[in-house]
Amino acid sequence: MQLARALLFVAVMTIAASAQAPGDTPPTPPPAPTATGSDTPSADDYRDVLAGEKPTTDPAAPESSTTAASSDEIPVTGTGRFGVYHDSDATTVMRGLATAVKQWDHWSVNATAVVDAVTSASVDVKTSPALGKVDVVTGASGRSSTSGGEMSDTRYLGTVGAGWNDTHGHALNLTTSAATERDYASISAGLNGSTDVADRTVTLLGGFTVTDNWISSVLDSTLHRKMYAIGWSGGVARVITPTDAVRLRYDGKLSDGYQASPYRSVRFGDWTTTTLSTGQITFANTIGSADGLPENYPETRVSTALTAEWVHALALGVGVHTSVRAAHDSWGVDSLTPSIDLRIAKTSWRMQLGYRFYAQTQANFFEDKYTMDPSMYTNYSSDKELGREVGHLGAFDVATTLMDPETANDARMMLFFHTEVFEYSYPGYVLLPSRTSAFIEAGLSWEH
Amino acid sequence: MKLVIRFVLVVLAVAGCTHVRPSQREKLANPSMQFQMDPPAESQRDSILEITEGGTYPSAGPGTAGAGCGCN
Repeated sequence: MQLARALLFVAVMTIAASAQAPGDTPPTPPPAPTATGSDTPSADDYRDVLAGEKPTTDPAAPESSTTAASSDEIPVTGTGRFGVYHDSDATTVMRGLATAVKQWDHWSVNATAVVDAVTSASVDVKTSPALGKVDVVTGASGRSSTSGGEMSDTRYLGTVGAGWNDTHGHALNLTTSAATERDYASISAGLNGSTDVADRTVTLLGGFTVTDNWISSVLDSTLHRKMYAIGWSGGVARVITPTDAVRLRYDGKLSDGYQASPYRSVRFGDWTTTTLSTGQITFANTIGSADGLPENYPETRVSTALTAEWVHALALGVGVHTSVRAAHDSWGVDSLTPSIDLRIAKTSWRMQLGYRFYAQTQANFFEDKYTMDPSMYTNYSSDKELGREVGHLGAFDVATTLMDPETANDARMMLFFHTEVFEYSYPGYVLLPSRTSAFIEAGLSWEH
Repeated sequence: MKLVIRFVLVVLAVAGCTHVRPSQREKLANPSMQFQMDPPAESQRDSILEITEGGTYPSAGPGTAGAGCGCN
């Protein structure tokens, strides 16, 4: 029933997003490539090197599409997506997403709705002293779990934003979001902007976000904790040759408050495990209770990351994007993430094929087994994502035009498929040595 | 980390001598040359990575509100 409601919610948002799609009104005139070698640019001549979130030029677009349109005729554009995530740790997430964007002259507003229907019998659930037991009524799902601890919940996320762009290289975006599920809620607000300098070959960017989170437990009505977070970002992007652009970005985040999971416990001693026929994992030979103790994390975490990116054109419509991200945080988790993507963007279809590697060190308080008495430790966790981790990600995207714009008033309807395969290993983590995941998504979008 | 910083500084320094005219930016204007070719798809991917990777977190961009059940 929850999934049905979620799908209905997304369907309504998708219909709203497409309400003024193809044929209703003319699109925003896209910038036309300059045919001359003039050094006197117009606003549309430039490629904004941070233009990832704004309409881009299609050099092969029909000439008629450059016809000017009055601002009040610019239609709503948007996208509707539905995807399924499943992993070898018995977690399935069905996700629906809908976005809508409306533009007037220099202004735009946008809205996004996301619904995640989560079902999980992961190691975290099966080792949870409460969730792992048979016949636990999970308040998140409102139904009895009879398969040795299966948790389900539905998450709703709504985002509303407004943007300003003077078309001369200066842009600001304000976004507010709210997300809720049975045991977790959060709100956030963010402001980010960019400005072009040096004859619009260099773009400076910056932004910050604030987030407030409320954490509770479906099993403990007395648990009410909070976590605040602020994030900041700054960077510079530059066009360096007619076929190359680079971007360097610095991101930071400060989190303060409850950052553990109310469902995970830490067992102490050189424990052993037994998996019951119900799926529940029980512990023996522990120091203290076999149910362990609730996780205990430091209240504050400061994270920083530096990302360098390079896009290179192999030919018109064929590009290679490479990036390297290095991150460090105050808990001692260091990570390195190189990636490479091949992209092809033609008039009627697009394709992207990518690979991403991920490696991280463990948090300085994390141990695969806490073999001493709990009193010997200040902080402890059973979150495998705070241990050593190595990951590989392969992604493939393909999109094709379903409906070409026949007039300047039309939008282009695109059908796309998006596939990702993840493989993570957790060296030293006894309960789950590795995890394989896949995310498959399909959708429609209306673009200008 | 130092290697990354050096690489970027070298690229930016070398690029300082180059001026790319607007008329030369046809290839750069193609969607294949955006740093984010498909922002919604990458946003979806990031929301998974923030859960599955201990060292990955969202940048201070739009729409960063999150919520999680801890079951992943």
